[in-house]
Amino acid sequence: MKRDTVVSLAIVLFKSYFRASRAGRRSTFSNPNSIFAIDAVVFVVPFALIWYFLPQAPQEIVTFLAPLTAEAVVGLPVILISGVILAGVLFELGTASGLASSEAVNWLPVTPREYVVASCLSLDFAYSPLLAFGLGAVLPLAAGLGFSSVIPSLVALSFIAFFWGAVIVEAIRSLLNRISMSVNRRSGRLGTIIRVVLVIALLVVFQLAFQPTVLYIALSDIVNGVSLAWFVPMVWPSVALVAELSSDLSKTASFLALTALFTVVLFEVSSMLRSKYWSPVPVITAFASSPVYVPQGRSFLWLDPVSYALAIKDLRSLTRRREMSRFLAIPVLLVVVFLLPSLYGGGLGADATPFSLYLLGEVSTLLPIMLSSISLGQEGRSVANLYMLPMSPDELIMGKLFLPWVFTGAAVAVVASLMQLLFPMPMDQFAVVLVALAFIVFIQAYVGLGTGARHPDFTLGPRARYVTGVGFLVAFAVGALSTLVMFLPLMASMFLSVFSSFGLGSTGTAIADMVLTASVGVVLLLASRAYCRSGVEKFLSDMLA
Amino acid sequence: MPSEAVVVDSVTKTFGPKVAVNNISLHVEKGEILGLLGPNGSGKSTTMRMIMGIMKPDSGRISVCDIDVLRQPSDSKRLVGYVPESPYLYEYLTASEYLDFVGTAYGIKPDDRRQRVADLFDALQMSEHVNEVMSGFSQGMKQKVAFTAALLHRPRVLVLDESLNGLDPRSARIIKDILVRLSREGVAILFSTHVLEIAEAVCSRIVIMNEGMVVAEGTAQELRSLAGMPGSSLEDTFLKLTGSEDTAKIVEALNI
Repeated sequence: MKRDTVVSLAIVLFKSYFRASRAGRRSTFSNPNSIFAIDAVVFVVPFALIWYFLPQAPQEIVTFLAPLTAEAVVGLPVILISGVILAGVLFELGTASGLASSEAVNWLPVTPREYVVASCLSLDFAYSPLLAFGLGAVLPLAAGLGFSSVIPSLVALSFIAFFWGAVIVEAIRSLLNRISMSVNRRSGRLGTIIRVVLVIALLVVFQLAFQPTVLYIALSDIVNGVSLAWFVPMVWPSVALVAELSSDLSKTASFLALTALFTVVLFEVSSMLRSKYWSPVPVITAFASSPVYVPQGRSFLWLDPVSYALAIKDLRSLTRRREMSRFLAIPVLLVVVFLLPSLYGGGLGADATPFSLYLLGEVSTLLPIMLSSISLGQEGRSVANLYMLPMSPDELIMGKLFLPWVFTGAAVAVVASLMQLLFPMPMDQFAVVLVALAFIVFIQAYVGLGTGARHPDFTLGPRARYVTGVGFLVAFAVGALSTLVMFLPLMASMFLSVFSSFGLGSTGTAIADMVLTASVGVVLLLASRAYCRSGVEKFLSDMLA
Repeated sequence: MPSEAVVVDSVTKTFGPKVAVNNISLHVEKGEILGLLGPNGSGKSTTMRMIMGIMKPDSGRISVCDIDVLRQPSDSKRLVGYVPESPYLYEYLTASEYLDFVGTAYGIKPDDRRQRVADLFDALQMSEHVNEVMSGFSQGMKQKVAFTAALLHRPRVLVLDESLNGLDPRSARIIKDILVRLSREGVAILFSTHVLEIAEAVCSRIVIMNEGMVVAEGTAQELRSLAGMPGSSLEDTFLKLTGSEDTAKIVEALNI
């Protein structure tokens, strides 16, 4: 293994990791020196603060912190492994398939082992602030609360665990390459469905794994029952630390040896997978059984054929492009991330209406804005088609918004029904909420497309965002404000019913709320449509890509 | 009936400080194949994009079959077929799905589309691949799909930006023959290429651009006379007219 090759390849991979998504633009974070600076800051600041304040803390706080510190000391290696895997896999899922298989390195005299080491180094370096922060927070606690004896092992095992995370990501990347090739080869449509389901499941699992509530439970379990899971290699560093804390030297030595052995095994497996599956094999994917062209293209609902063709194309983009599938997971993620911890924590108490409104408002705002604001940028260089073809702004708007409307409408309907089932609100109030939600979905999609047309980002690559940072902020600020305005009549009425004797009776209040909500909705709908149309007209007048 | 299908009149386009196209004027007659030659970065592709109406000129006027491209972009696009240098296809679609999308945008009826696609795909040996996802296509296959899409609506003007790149000799020959046939049927063709033999064989007139300006215009023979090189090849003529004839010295100076 040539050290110079590994180092120079690691630097190239690190830089491309950060710069690829920004079309070669330099960013502060793409400079290795700035990562060193960030590492220093995130290590020194928590270390210094804890080191300074811990001796002055009252005894009750020290007593409270002692078991938490034990959990942190033992759990740090596991958290670091999961952290690197989470970041690496999310990055991989966000990478366009065409860019995922960087073939250039296959032409160079670089061995698979050299590549794996370089890739792991670059990945670990990119996420090194996570390691620096973990050690910066845990080391002073361990030193101050009587765990000094394990500090050398903790530091060494944290570095090893961090490396494990990167090696596992490397193996996952090779396997994804392999699975993607065989699934696509066997069946186009089935492959698409499997991939979408896998992406959603992966995102949900990873998101849950990093929920504070879930993490807290997992850490407690590791400390209390880690010996029960000794056969899982991922927890061997933690088992070694638990054994060292209880001064069990033979067990400590055994699990340190097992950790070292597993490091070698992981590295060998990852190198073997890379040499076997990395070189991409050309894949032929067909979505029809016979090679005969049967023309499609028709009107659908209120859509004319051009808008329908555009909507269908975007649906295929959403389901067939790996980097786009993640957007399908948004409603599931929003619900799971907010609902599960609340339910686990003992429910929401007597009145869950504000929580329901918040969740519904979030789903009905984020989802259409996200889907519509990216709809032009995600075209990439192929956006030239929209300029080449005789397409009017109205056709483009209808074609681009059909999918966000239908997808979000369905998601909001499901979430609203679920919330009504779990935390029922009065039916008249629920009817007003539904009307408000319907308006919000339409309004946000217009806002998203209008902003996406003004601030598109056509760069396709890892972490492609499809809308510029400014566009993202504008869309979400305008979206959040308009959702707030849409809920104002309902919130005002709820406020009045609680804090004053003013009232029109249940039915009268509901009718007044409905009329006010619909009036506000119509005004915002017209304004957002005008905003969207002017943006799309400007967009179509001169090619930006 | 005016015979000019494409008129570019005093058009300028800048990108920041860079003047990509500098006050150029040219026209393409109906039934004519006009070759647009020039070194890389000479403004050919920008000119073609402006003719297509996908890029706005800073000044000047462009019309296609008497339709102002800037004022009625949708109407002019219905008359033009365009094959860009790199075919911007939706690679996650199959060829048939992409052609459906394009055909629908042009308002072509399914039966007509079926016939057109069948004929062109047969000729270009692409029939077997019609239901395959285009991400697995080679550069040449993508170029054939783009060419088919450009001809789907029977355009009156065809704009081809180095569109023979990556094609196998048989397909390139078929496309050249198709171009000649279309020109006989009155289709105006603007054709850019770096392969000067093709330009000489196919084009009835040639325009040479350099640094955003038209530096010479005429038949291959007229260009040779203009350059004062009557018996020389079009390549030598081109190099002289674009001021890049000192290639031998450059190669000699190379230390390889």
